[in-house]
Amino acid sequence: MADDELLSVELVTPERVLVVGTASQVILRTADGDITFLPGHTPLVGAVVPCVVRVVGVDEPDGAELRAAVHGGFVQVGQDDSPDRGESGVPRRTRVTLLAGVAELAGEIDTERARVALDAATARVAELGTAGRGAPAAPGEEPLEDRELAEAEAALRRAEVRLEAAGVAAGATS
Amino acid sequence: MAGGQERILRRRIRSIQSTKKITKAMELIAASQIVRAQGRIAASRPYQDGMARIVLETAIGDPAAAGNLLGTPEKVERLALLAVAADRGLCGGYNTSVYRTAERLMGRARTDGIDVRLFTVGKKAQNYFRYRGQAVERSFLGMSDRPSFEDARAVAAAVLTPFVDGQVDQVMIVSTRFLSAGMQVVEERQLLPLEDPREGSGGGEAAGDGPAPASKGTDGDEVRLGYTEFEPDAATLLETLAPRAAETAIFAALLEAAASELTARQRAMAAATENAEELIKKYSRIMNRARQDTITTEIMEIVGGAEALRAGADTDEGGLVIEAGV
Repeated sequence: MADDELLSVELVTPERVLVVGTASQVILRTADGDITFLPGHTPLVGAVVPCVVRVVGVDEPDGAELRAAVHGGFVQVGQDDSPDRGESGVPRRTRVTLLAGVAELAGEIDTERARVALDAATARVAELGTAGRGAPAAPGEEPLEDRELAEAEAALRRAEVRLEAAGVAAGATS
Repeated sequence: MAGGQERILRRRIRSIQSTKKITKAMELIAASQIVRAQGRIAASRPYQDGMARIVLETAIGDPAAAGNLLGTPEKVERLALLAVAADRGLCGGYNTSVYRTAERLMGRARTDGIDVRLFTVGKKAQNYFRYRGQAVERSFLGMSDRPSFEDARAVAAAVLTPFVDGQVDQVMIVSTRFLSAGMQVVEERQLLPLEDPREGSGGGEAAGDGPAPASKGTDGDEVRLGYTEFEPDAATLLETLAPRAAETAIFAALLEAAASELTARQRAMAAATENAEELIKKYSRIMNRARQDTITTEIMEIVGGAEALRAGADTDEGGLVIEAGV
C-alpha cells in the first residue's frame, strides 16, 4: 500500500479535536515562512503564526483539501508512535501534530462576522497608527498605545486569516 | 393550646419539604453537569498530550535551551500562587480544603521569607482570603463551574506574566484534581518553571498531563533523540512554548476543578436531601403524636363534660342533655 505516502495529521485545540486522520501534505506558516510537510519530513518543532493551514488529500491521497484558520500555535513533526505502528514491520508513519489555542475549520467560519471585524480592526489600526504621529507603529511610543495597536493588528490578522480560509473554501479549490 | 404546637410542626415540615425540593434539584443539576465536565476533560486531553510531547521534544532536542523555564528553581524569593475554588458554596468541603492547602503553602513560604502574590479563581476563594486580610492580587469570577479556554487564557495572562517578566521565580497552583468520579484530591503543583519532562517518568505533569500520567508516550525516546529541527531555535521556541504549556496546565486544572466542584456539590446535595427526608419523617411522627394527643384530650374532656352534665340533669330540669356518643 501507499501507506508510507501518507502523513498522520492532527489539528487540536484545547477544547476539541478539529482534524484527525491522514493526508498527503500539510501546508502552514511559521515565523520563517511557509512550510509544506510531506511524508518522511525530518522531525521538527516550530511555532506557527496566524495563517490558513491547508491539509491536502484528507484520508485518501487525492482526497479533498481541508482549510482551517489557525490563530497561532505550535507544530510538531515526528514519528507516529501509536501502538499499532512500529511493530511487526508496519512502518512508522510521519505524524504532523498541530496545536492551536484557537482554530476554526473553513466551513465553520462566520464570514459576515469576520468581515465586520476586519472593517473594525482596519479602522482601529488606521486611527491608532496616525493618531498624533506620522509613522504608524513607530517604535518607542508610549506602551499603552503600542499595546492597543498590537491588539488591533492582531485582530486584523485574525479577521484576514478567517476570511482567507473561508473565502477560498467558498470558491473553487485551487 | 396543643393545636398551636401542631401548627408549628406542620409549618416546619412544609419548609423542610421545600428545602428538600431545592437540594434535590441542585443534586440533579450537578449530576447532569458532571457528565459534561468529564467530557470536556476528555476533549482537552489530546491537546495536553501534544503539548507535553512538544515540550519534551524541545527539552531533549536542545538541553541548553531550558534556562530557567524547566525544572525546579534553585532559589525562590518571590512566588505567585493561584488558588482554584468555586464561585458558590453548597458543595461540602470542596472550597475549605482548597483554602486550607493554599494557606498552609503560603504559611510555609512566608516562614521561609518568600514573598507571596496570591491569585484566586472563584468568588468563594476571593471572599475567604479578603475576609482574612490576605491581599488577593486578582481574582477571576463567574466561570468556576464552566471554564472555557478563553477564561484559562485570561487567568494565565495574569498569573504567568509576572514570571515571564522576571518578577516572580515560581508559579504554583492549588486546585482539586479529578482523579475519578469517586476521588478528588486537592493538590499543589508547580506551573512555572515547567516540570522538566526529562526527569523521571512522572514528568510532563506540569504540562497538563491528565489524571493518567502512565499513558505518556515515553517509549520513543531513543527515536526522538535524533535530529530535530527547530523553528525558531529551541531556546526562543521554549520561551514562547512555556507560557502556552502552563496555560494548558491551567486550563486542565480549571476543568478538573469544575468537575470536582460539581461532584462535591452533587454529593453534598444528595446528603442534604437525605437529611431533609429524615427530618420530615421525624417531625411528621412528632406532629402526628401531638395531634393524637389533642384528639384524645378533647374526647376525654367531652366525655368528662357529658358525664358531669348527665349527673346534673337528674336534679336540674332545665339543664341541657348531651348524649355522649360512644
